[in-house]
Amino acid sequence: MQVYTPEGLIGQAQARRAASPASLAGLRIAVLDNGKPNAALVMTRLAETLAARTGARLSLLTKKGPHGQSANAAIPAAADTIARVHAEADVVITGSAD
Amino acid sequence: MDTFIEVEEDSPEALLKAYAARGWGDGLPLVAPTPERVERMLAFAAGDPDESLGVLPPRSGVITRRMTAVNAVLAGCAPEVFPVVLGAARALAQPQVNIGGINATTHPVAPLLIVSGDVVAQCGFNAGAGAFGPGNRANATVGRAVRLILLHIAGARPGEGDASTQGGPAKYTYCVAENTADSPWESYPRSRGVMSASAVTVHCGEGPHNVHDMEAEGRADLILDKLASAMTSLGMNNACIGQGEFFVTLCPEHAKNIAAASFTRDDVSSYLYEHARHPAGLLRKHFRSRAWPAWMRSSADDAMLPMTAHPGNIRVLVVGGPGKHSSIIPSWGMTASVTLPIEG
Repeated sequence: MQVYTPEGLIGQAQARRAASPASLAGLRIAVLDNGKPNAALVMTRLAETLAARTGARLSLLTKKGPHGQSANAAIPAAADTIARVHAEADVVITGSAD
Repeated sequence: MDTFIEVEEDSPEALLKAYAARGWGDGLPLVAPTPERVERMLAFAAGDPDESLGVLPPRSGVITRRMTAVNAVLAGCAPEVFPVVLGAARALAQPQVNIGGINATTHPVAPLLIVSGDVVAQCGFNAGAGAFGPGNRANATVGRAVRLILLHIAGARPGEGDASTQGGPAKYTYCVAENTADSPWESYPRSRGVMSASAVTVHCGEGPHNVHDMEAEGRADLILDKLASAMTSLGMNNACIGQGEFFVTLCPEHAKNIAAASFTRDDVSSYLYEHARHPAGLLRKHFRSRAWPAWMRSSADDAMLPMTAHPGNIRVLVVGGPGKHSSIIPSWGMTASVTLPIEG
């Protein structure tokens, strides 16, 4: 018996993570705060630890709303904030959910 | 991507096995989406079967009439309800629904479909006794078709594209019809300016919270106070997200009693807005992260704040049959309901 598959086509390329750099030495790390309670604390500590261990530096800590202002976790990051992260960092730490 | 697969034999067990092996389905038996069945479904829709009607994250899957029909067949829909499924699929793709967030959240949110208008009787939807429950093919299969669309086209599989901590029974099927025949007010879509003969509303929220009242003896204020009480749980996302809607689905008797006290639909919303409140300080104590408009953020701790920022966020309609049980359906929060005409 022949039946349809149920998923259909994918309409646009999904964003994918860039390949990890071979070394973090000298690179700039950004923290993109997803707005969840404690997320900034956890991710900033992680960035600071990574920087201390590898020779990278924490270059940007920003919330994800327009102009780096706070935004609810359930909505996407603002385009201008993404552009700033892209310009000011080589590596980004962010997260979703809780 | 293959459009078809071969299933070794024409049996429900073989189809279920073949689909489950590929991570498809909702765990329940499925109807085989043969080309013939899909064509019978498509006969109830005008337009190019392969036209893109929207894209659903996180998979970025394309909604087309054909793929919607495939999932409607799988769910067991009768062909005549296909325009309702299509309307719901279109609604899911509206940006204000924020289906990406709906699928990504740990909350148990599910899209509730509310079917209104001529199609209710034409297709045999249940708007009366037990309308939220089992026993009616149209309600059960249209809601299930939408879930299958989310599982397959959107890629919202539990633990992968759907991050819900506990999930919820409303994620199997969640479709009800509005009981306009027993409503003292105009149909819900007409109250929203959708004047078509039939319409479907999508509200992304929790399951229904029951509100029982058998002692009010018809007093509108006592019925409404109980509804307001049910709306004030600190466990709801509405408690910290000002834009969150409530859908208030009144049983016919409660609606009749409330209307007899000269309450309009908007009066019901205003009353609940005024009475479903907490002190701002209590809400601040429980929620460090608050999506409130400026006027709520600037309130003193002893100010009584509503559970939603505007009375218009409290949507009222009639559902169900005899008895004194109504329900409220809180929102996930960062989403807005959509009402669309059913066109096919």
